[in-house]
Parts: sequence; C-alpha cells; structure tokens
Amino acid sequence: MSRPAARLCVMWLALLVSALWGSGALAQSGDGRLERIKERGTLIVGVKGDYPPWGMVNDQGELVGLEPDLAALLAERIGVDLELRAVTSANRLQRLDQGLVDVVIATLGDTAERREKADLLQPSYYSSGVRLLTRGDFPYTEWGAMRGRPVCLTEGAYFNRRIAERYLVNPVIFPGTRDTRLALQERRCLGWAYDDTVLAQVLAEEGWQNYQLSLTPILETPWAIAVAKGEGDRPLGRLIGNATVQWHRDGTLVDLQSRWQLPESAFLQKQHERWTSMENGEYRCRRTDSGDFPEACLETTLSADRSKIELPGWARQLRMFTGLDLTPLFDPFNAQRLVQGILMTLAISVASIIGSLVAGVGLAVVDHRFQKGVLAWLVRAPTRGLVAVARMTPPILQLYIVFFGLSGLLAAWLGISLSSFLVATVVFSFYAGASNAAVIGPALARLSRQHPDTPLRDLLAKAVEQSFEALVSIMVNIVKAAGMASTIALPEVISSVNTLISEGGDATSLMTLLLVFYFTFVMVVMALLNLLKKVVVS
Amino acid sequence: MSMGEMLVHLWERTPFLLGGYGYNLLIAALAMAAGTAIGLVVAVARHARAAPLRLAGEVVTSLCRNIPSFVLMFYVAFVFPVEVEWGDTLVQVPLWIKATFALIIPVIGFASDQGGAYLRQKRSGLTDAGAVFVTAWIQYYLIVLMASATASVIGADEVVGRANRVIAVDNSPGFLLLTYSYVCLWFLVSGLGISALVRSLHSARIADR
Repeated sequence: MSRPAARLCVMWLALLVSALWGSGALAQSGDGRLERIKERGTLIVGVKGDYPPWGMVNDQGELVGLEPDLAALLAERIGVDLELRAVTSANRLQRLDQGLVDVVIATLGDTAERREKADLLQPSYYSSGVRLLTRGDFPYTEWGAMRGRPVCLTEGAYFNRRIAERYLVNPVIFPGTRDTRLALQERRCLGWAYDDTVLAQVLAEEGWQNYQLSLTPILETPWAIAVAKGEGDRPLGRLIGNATVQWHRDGTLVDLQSRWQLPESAFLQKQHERWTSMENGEYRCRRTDSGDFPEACLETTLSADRSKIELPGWARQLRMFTGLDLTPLFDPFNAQRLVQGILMTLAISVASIIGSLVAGVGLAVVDHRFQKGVLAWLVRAPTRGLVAVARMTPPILQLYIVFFGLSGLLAAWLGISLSSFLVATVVFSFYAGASNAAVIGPALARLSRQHPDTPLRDLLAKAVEQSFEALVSIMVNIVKAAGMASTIALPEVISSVNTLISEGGDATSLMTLLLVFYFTFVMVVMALLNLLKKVVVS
Repeated sequence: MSMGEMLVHLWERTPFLLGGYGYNLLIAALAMAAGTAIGLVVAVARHARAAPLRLAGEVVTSLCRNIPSFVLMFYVAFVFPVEVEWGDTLVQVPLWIKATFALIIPVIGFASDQGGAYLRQKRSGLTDAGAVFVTAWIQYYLIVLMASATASVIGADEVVGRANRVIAVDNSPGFLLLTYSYVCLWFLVSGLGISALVRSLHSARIADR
C-alpha cells in the first residue's frame, strides 16, 4: 500500500476512535445560559407530551398543558420566543445536561438524587404522591401486601427504586406511560404505581370506569423546575425562582389549576398563604441578602434513602485517570439488578438461538416436504409468506405488534397475557429462523437432488452441517438484536443500565461499560458457536 | 374508534408517516455511504504490508462487527454532543443524525469484511468479485434499513416514532396493531423490491458469462 493511502487510513482510524471516545467533552461551554437564550432569541423548554393536563399533545400535534403555559410565561418574562420540546421521565434530565433544552418543566419531583444531576429551583410549583391504579376488585389495603407481586412502573420515575426496595414488589418496568397503561389493561401487573396526579387523569378517561386508585398515597414530593447544573445560582435560575414566587403570590398557579380542571391542591393553597404573608410591611418569604430564600419558606426535600457509597481505592484511581465512574456498581441493590439483567440477557440469547435453529429447520422442512398438490398451496405458500414477513420487517415492530397488539387482543378476548420473555423468544426465533431457513432450504434441495434415496433426517443433518458457517453469523446477529426486548419490559442488561442512568449514574461510564460487556459477550458467543461447529463437523 | 374510523384516520396520517419512512431510507442510505467509505479504507489497512496497520484494521473491524447497533443507539444518544459550534452559531445535532452515526459502525464492519473478500477474490483472479460485493451491499442496505426503525428508542424522528404519535390518539390494541402492520407493509415491500433487484442482478451476471 502506498504511503499517502496509509496515512489516510491512520487519519480515518484516529477520527473514528476520537469520535467514539472523546465526544462527551464538546457539549458545554461556560457562559451563562440566559445570555445564550437571549442571543438565540428563543427559550427552549422541555415539557411532557404524555402527562395530561400538565403536558400533552393536542389534535394539531402541538404541546399544550399547564406546564407549557408556565413555559410561555417564562419566555414572556425573558422577552424571547418559546420553543417547546417533548421530554419523558426517563430522558428529561439528560436532555437538560446535554443542552438540548434550557429549562425542564416536566412534572419533576424534587429529590436529593436529582439535585446531584441538575439544579432544581426553589420554590416548588406543585406536589404529588404515589398511589396504585388497579381494577375495581383489588383486594388489598396495604402496600406491604404487594410484596413479590407484579407492579407496573414507568421508567425514570424517582420512586421506582424506593417502591422496589421498600415494598419488595416484583417490578415490571415500561419505557413510557402509554406502554404502562396498555400493560395494566392487559393484566401484566396488579396495578400501576405512579404519580397520583396522572392516575387521577387516567381514571377520568373513557374506558377506565372499572378501575380505581388504591392504597394510601406514599412518598409525597414537591415538583421543581430544573435548569442545568450550575445555572441555579446564575441569572436564569434566579429569574425562574422569582417568577415562581410571583405565580404563588398572584394566584397564577391556582388559576391555571382551575383552567386545566385539576382538583384543588392543598399544596398550592399553603404556598399561596406562605408567599403572601407579611411581616413589618414586607413579605415574610423573600430572597435574603445572600440571594437565597429562607429555609422556613421552602419545602424540605426527600433525603436520599441510602448513605453515600464509598468507592474502593482502585475504582477511585480509575475515575481519576480515565473518568470512568463505576459508583452505581458498588451499591448492592444496583449490583444485584445489573447481575439479574446480565442473566436475563444470557437467557434470552440462549432461548433465541435454540428457537431460531428449531424454527429454521422446521420452516425448511415444511418448504421441502410440501412441494406439490393442494398441500403446497395450503402449507408451503403461507410458510413462505411467514418467512418473508419475519425476515423483511423490523424486529422492533414485530415485538410491539405481538406484545401490545396481538397479546392485547388475546387479553381482551380470553384474559390471557403473554410474558415478555415468551414474546421476545418467539419473535427472535422466527426473525432469525426465517434467515436460517433461507440458508438451510437451498442446501437441503441440492442435497436431495444429489441423493434422492437418503432419508430426510440424514439430508437435514448434512444440510445444517454444510450451512453452519452462515448459521453462526445469523445466530450471532440474534444475540446482538436481543437487547431490543428491553422495549417490551424484559429486564435485561440494557434496561438495567438505562435504569441506573435514569437514577443518577454517569451515562458515559455506564454506556461504555455496556459496550465493553456486549463486545466481550458477542466474542464469547462466537467462540462457543465455532467450537460447536468443530464438534458438529467432526 | 370503529374499524372504518381507524382506516380513515390512518389514511389521513399517511403523508406524515411516509415522511417518517423517508427519514428511515435517508438514515440507512447515509449510514451505508459513510460506513462503506470508511470500511473500505479499513479493509485496505487490514491487507497492508505494515503490521501495525493490519492490527489496527483488525481491531476496528472486530469492534464494529461485534457491538450491536441497538446498544450504539443509546451510546450516541447519551455521549455524543447535542450542539456543535458552526462558526459563530450553535447548531443542534438532530437525533436522526445521531442515529445515522450509530448505524455507520456496523456498516464499517460489514464493508471491511466484504471489501477484504473482494480484494482476495480479485487477487485470486475471480472476475465477478465486484458483482458479489454489490449484491451483498444491497442486501445489507435492507438490514440497515430495518435497524433504522430502532432509532425511535432515542426519540429520533422516523417512521416508528411517528407511528407512536399516530397511535397516541386512540391507544387501543386494535388501532396499534393496524398502524404498526401498515408501517411493516412498507418495510416488506421495500424488502421484496430489494430482493427482486438482487435476483435480477444475479441472473444478469449469469447471462453475462
């Protein structure tokens, strides 16, 4: 190879490596955010799109609700245009951290863990607790009774971990509220533990007449507007804090509450009294000389349930030199969740490999056996159709279709719900099995032409042996695709890692760790399958 | 919604969904173009005379080959910058661009392997090595196109994400099933089209001999 070409190669490789590893550092510069907002002429606010009436999408596809209204008031106060972006419970603080949004007003409960990830502004503008949405015939009266029973949770909610830890429920976690609602209707859990403000809205909708709010509210938490870490004490944070105080004083929040038909909140009433109470002709609650509000005027936040994690020396060194922060792994509860995630990934991989081999052989045999007559039309043609659909439609859509669509109809008609493990295994088995059949089939046809008298079983063994190399690469692909099952609440390793990140773990470190895990895992699977190939061939 | 209402609604939102599918086609095409360019360079490096270059080529290929694109989606979403400085202005990186980056990686692995096979076949005097490469490349486009559907998990604007917004009007399993199946049909038609193209290329190649 010529020198310039070699230099080009090195350049490309360097570019690739730096793109992969170095990209986190570019995100932020040190200017105050408010300056940037004014330069841009637009305030970008992250609000909910799936949380009526706080933040929702109207018929025209626009984001509307109580929180978009607050966002509009803020933009007006700054004197710039407003751009709303939909965020979810799972991604809102990341969007903030990434700088995708300037401010988050998205039903964010004020907790100690979250204060480590972003600046949560005082005072709070609302508060809520956690209750359980269940069917009308729900027999239990205490949270303690939920021990070991399936409870649906929505990824990213701050109370998920506390519920799992304190009440030892069997958590079934979905990525969004839509998926969680469908799951409850399909009886995938006894109830949906979530914010009581949302659950009350859900109950009011059509189709939820046979449901109720059960158990007493727990974990009452004030809601905060959030800005990126460091912005709380800068002009942007101050401006929003002052705006919130004014909204409590002049009744803006109470008015919005009734405009959006929310039940009256005792919290807002208390705040209104607190922020309007006078002392010596001045407001009792106002910024002190240091610029903060007096402690007595603020809601106390939930303290973190656990003590600070002490990192061992080597992990501290690692963090110092590489920036790789493994803190979440040294928390026993997290470590246990991660190990369970890894085991689940192993289980779904093994089940899918076996399933895809069985499906591949089965589909190839059907195609081979029914070549003529009526059966060719009745059996072979539909099988070929199935193979085409399984191979040529995205597996993630297949998962959604079977898990939420077909299984939903089954639940409605027969009261049966299919587990996410079963659905994922079947979908992956057919997806990879169809590709396997496409490899085994031609080999089988060729062999049977060459040896018309050999029994099918021997031909099949020979065909599998001959196509083993191609089968190995298909099976490796299915192991790589298996992580998609996290989208249907299979608690595998990607879903465990996402949970750790949404609870405050360092995203770059955990994601890098996940890449390393998958790289090693796929290498091991490949080595094992090649070993199997040697055994089969000899 | 009744079945009729569902169909009418789906028909009304078809342009919206098609726009999303356009993103899928674009994401897959860009990922294939960039990934192939980089992958071929890596393939050349793997066959270079200098040992360090060969090693680097092997390492990059095996990294690209073995890390699932689904995991890379989350990686780019969390780790890649959100805004980049372009002269004096800050430009936001749209999520579909990030998804494209995630899909470039497996394409590099593919192009490196296939490019290497092409080089070996060429050296051993096989005349239609190029045609073999093109066939494999077209088939891989289909795989990347299907993988682009996972971009919805990071919130990228593409067909599955748009389908979810369409479904949000009703949220019944029936409407969900209908909408997703409708979208699946487009993937299926694209897949069958690509397969037909590959077959016609194949028979043209045989006729050439």
